[in-house]
Amino acid sequence: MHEWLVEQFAHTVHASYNLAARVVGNHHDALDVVQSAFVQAALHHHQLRDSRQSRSWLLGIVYREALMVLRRRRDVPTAPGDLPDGAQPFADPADVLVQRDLAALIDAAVRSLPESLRVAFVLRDVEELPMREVAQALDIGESAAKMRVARARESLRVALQGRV
Amino acid sequence: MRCDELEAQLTDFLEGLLPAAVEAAAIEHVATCERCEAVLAGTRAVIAMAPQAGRLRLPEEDREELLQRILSAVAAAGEPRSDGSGERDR
Repeated sequence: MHEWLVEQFAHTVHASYNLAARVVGNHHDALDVVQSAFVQAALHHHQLRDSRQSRSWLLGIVYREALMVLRRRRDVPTAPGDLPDGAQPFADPADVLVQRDLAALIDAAVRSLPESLRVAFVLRDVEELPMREVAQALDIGESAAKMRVARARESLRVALQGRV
Repeated sequence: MRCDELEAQLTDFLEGLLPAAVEAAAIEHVATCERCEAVLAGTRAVIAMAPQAGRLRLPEEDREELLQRILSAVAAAGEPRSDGSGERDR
């Protein structure tokens, strides 16, 4: 099991962190989410019926853990200043435009997406998972996953129009 | 193909999932429609930049510490039973 865990960590930790950080919006909560998710996965990995689905199974656990963090702090405003790569949470893309900083602009546009579209975009286009695995991780049908990805891409295209 | 038809099938087009004849009709439409050409190019640009620009990176100094925290927590929680109950990976 130790070997399985270390191997999964090596393969999935960066995608897990990215997904967690994109949902919870700050570095420390993202670390806690990833830790909690991998512990859950290690303790329940006998429930994984198909080892080819390890990644989407793990990312699904990460997503659920991240949603639990959101629920716990639903009424507590997000504290800014804690995110990696210097970006502020939930920044208005229009504010960032003036900085002409493409990376920050894209980051802000991704943050401005509704959570359900944001995670679908992160899994499909940032982490480049096949649509089938996106659907598995989010526990939705493949057509619903495809629709969320399409809506995310369209929102980002409009937000970034003329800038990329 | 009309603009709304292309819009409805844009994801399948980008994923290469359209039947050959429909894909050919989409390509033909894009070649003659400035608006759809711009939508397609903009969407492709979003997809192309996503892996680099869309990723929040786990700082390397946190990675090893995180693994150790996970291993410690798993050890503290105890491993699941592996007594041949038939619930292992296939």
